[in-house]
Amino acid sequence: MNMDYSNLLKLLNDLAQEYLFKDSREIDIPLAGKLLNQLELIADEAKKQQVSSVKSCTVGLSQILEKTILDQIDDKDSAAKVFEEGIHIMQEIADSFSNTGRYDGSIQEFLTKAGSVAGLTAPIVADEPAAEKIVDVTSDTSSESVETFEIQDEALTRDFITEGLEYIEEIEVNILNLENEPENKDYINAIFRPFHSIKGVASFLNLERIRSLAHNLESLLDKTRNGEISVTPSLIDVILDGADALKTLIGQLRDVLEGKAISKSPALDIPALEARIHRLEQGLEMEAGTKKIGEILVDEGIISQEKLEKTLKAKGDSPEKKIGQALIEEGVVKPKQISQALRKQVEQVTDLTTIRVDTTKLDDLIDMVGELVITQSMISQDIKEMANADKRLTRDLSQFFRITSSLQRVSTSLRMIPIKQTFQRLTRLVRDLAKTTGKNVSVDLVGEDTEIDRNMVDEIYNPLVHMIRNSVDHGLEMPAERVKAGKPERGLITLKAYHRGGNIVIEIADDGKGLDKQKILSKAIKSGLISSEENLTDQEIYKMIFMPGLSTAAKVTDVSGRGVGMDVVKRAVEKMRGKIEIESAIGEGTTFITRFPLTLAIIDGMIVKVGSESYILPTTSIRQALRPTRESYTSVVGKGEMINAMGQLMPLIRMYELFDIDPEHKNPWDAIVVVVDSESGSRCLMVDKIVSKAEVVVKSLGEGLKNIKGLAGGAILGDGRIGLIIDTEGLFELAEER
Amino acid sequence: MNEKNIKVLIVDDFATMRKVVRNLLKQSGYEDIVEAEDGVMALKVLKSQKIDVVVSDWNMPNMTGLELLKAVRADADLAKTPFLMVTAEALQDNVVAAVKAGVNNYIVKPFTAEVLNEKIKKIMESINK
Repeated sequence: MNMDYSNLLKLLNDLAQEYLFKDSREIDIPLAGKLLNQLELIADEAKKQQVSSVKSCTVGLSQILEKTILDQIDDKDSAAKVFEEGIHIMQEIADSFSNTGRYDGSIQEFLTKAGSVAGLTAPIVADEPAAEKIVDVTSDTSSESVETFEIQDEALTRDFITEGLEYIEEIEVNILNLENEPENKDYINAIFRPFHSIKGVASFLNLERIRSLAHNLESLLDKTRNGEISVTPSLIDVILDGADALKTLIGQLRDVLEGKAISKSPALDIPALEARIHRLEQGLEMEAGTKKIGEILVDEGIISQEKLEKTLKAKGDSPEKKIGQALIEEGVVKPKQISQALRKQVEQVTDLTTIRVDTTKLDDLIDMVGELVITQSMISQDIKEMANADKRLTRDLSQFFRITSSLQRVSTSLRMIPIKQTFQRLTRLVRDLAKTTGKNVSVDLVGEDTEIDRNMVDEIYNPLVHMIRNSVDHGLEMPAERVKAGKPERGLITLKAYHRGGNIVIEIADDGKGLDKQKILSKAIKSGLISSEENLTDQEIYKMIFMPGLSTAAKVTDVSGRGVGMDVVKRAVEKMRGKIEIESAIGEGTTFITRFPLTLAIIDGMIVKVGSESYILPTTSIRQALRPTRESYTSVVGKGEMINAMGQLMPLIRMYELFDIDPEHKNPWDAIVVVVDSESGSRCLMVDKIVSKAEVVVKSLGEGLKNIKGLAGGAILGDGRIGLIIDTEGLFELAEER
Repeated sequence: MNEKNIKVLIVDDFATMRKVVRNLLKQSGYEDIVEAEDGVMALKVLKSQKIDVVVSDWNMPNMTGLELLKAVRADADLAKTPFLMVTAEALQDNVVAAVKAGVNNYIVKPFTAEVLNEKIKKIMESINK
């Protein structure tokens, strides 16, 4: 092949000029940047012209520059000398190539020097420079998986083998951690770094296979670290396979070094592995569900499973031949059928109508839109106050408002996903439960396409699990019992989801025996929850199953009935500002109806003022607001201040004391008290005045203020001021502590 | 060039960090300081007024320090603006990427007023040569 080295010579000349005409001996950062870019061009050109020795030199020189930038070079004078020498050698090689098409000198000495000034290597052996030893194993054609190694420096290579294997062990430990906590960036970094180090040393030792594999894995991890691709099981698989492949390669390297025959490893298929890495990098990951052509053909009934296996076996000798080709040659399928199957396969991989978006980007977007909506309401307020607002302005603005509100609708919907996945997980759970309880259960799903905020999916899962356990274990009867009651032997659990009035409603219904009011009551009396059979409505009785320590299961089972569960459910639901209701009929079944707000990003709140500060109380927890009379205020020794509201004595919490503010009113009878419900009973919150009811966008207070007791977040109010959102439960605890 | 006459643009998404850098600069006698909370804002500032040196954080939402640097270098009017990159740790890949993109210098958190001043001085000297 005729090579043209003129471009390479020119690039080298440019580099030499840039370096030699610098003003001082020292390489400063802007110069290092220029030189690095030039070296990159040279490396590309050298690769193109197949002058690998020049390419190796560029690696050495880049390492020196990179260490210079990082200020990690102790002996700057030697570094400069070695750098000059490197430029010189590259020019010599390029000259020699352009004259004779070859170069007979050795670059080993230079590479060793470069290594030592860059501080990369372990001490270099003092005796004569390691002879270049080329071990060529490609003559052994029986195995495809054996790699060729060119060992340039024995001592260095030995160090690399030991260190490399240690690194891989580190990777293996951390990847298992990552699998458990895919969000943890520390683990990604912990895997990234060793791959990075392996790549660095391998590139220096000219171990191209190892370098390129480590590099590919590193850049895949870099994308993961940047959030461009997410941690999925297939990513974990690829990284583990990659680490294994590196281990095998390094093992083979050791064999070569020790003069042993290379142990063969049939599993090593680096090109296939690298192809998988690239697919993942481009987001075209082959999920576990992606089928092979053969499988698609079998599914379509075009060929039989036996035929496929037979053909695959026969094809084993010629791996380059595609299965489709083999099948066509055998005449069992038509080319058209193969192309259809191929198309089907592609459809599985690339769904062109969707893209993957990092959820934090979505969250940011929704947050911004929330702000926009608030700004819009501020503007609209201003316009209303302008006595003679321009007609055109008013019209334009109303158009703007329409756009903002549809923008808000659309952006909120971006984060919505169908509840289907959750339902399917729950269906599996029901099956498992049925097995452990010995009951026959079928599941009916209604409204699986109902959408829910992605951020809520995980949070609602646990309470739903508890409720389903309850339904299967307590609700449904044993098959024999059901037959006796004249019901079908197989019980039915219905999961139903739908939207209603700004809420998503999820119902879990069973056709079991229904709640036994009498049993709940006697249990409640026994455990002291109520004093006697008070006059309670059905709803009130049903709700008792949410009280801590009340389980109506006759015996404690594995599935439920330890007296924990339903109270946890209630708390979890309320934490998401949800509500839970029960409908039940003896002999017909029980239905749990849970309602959640469509999104956790917006809260329906009441804005109150204490002094000059505004606070937002979540409307769901407010029972009423009143101005107490002087008589209703009592101070009880040992119990603190109380307010008698609605015939009930409730502790008074003075908000201004908790938050250390100068209030407008210090006497409860001048101020307003808001009666707020919580798990631990009701309290009266004393505020100066109630401003309005409003929907606000919940904002986190940032890392530093994340865990402040009593505050759930902040919000920007209609007038542009900041209001803090009260976490009632936390506020009560805060008040108790005082 | 006197510190007083050097106009510094601090780019960092974290307000506290901006304050820290501002205080360190003040300790060394810098008076003309402007701030931007991300790369997009920084570009706006750069286009509207003459900035002598940019001190930009690496890790920022919307537009990273590296992206800002590349945008500055790609803009004919701003290309020569001195740029000092602040990084959390001297990760070789990051620093090398910044150097290749044409950063004038970089500084690793945490740093002292002296080191920051020294780096800015060095940049100013090298471009005034």
